[in-house]
Amino acid sequence: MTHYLSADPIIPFWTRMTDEIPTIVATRWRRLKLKGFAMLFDVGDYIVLALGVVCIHLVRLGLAAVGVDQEFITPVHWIEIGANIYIFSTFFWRIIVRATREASGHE
Amino acid sequence: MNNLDYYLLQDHAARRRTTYVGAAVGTFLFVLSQILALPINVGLAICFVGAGIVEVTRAVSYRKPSPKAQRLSGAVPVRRYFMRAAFSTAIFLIAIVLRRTIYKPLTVEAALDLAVKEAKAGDIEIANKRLQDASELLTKLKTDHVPARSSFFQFAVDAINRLQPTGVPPESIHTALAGLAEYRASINQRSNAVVQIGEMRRVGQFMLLKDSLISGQSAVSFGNSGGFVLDGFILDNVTFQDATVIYYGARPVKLHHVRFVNCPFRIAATPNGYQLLKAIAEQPVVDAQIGDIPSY
Repeated sequence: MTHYLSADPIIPFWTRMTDEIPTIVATRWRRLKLKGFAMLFDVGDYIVLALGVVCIHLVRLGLAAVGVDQEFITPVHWIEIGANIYIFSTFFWRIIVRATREASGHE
Repeated sequence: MNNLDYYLLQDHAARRRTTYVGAAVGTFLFVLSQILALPINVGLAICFVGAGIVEVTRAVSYRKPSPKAQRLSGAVPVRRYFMRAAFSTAIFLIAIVLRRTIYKPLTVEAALDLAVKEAKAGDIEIANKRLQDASELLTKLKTDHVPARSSFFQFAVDAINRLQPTGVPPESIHTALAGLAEYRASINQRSNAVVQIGEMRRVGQFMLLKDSLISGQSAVSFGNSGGFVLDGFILDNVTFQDATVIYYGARPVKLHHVRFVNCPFRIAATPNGYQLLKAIAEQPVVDAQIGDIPSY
């Protein structure tokens, strides 16, 4: 008896398939999915924090509009700049860490 | 999966904690650098390098929790998390669009108002940009001879006055004030009188010019200056029309009932020059005294 998909007259082809290639693909796909999710989480965190910076910015403009003294507004401006630069830097450095990890190669 | 992989790929909460705590510390360091009056670039560098140190140290020193703790931590609330991120993105974009729409200066008043607010809020660079917007708008108004009320000039002079002590570059303030003075001159009514010198005589170290009309670009040129130099003049009932008016601010000048019609001004950016420009911008018929002038 010969199976219609197999050259082997006895054993069907799927029983002879090694699981090597599908396992590698599955592992890589799983890892890629994890990386994608992790990046999405990082981007999401960045957006949430950037929204916080926008809120600080609006507070600063609001304080200026209602006539609060500049000496009280300037620290708010510093907080805005500091937070803005820090969250961008964090995002940047995390990409560097990820890239370094990828470059090192070993699992 | 080793510790670093677990941190980068699976422990989203740990990465988020690192970001939040680091953001608080980094912001505090930046504010501290500004309180200590360090240059802003140094503050930014501290923030950037600080972020690098926190991120790298945390990534390297991270130890993944025990398998039991990993199981207990449960699944990440992905749906809730992404809903929050999407909501934040929407609010973020709306805020940016609103800010750009609301704060787009369409008139000189709006641009000056924004310049004052931004300067007050400590954003000198943006305030300077808004002031430059106002100067450009004034140039256009001058070219088109668009009529304006006196209250407009009063408002503009007040706004420019308020910008003076805020740290906006003096040259921008001078340019805006000169633009305002030229605009005012460009919309003053033209005189039909003929060119004339009514009275001209020396009063001490000063020159008195009375009941006169100086009209046209080439009517008067002091030396190679190419215009009428106001330094050391007492002007009484004088009209300048289409004539270049120059003031170096080196000597006092007195103006009584002086009109400027469509005059280009070349006025030095000195305290005296500022006073003169302010007077011209404020008054349709100028009465001003800059420095000590003897009575005549």
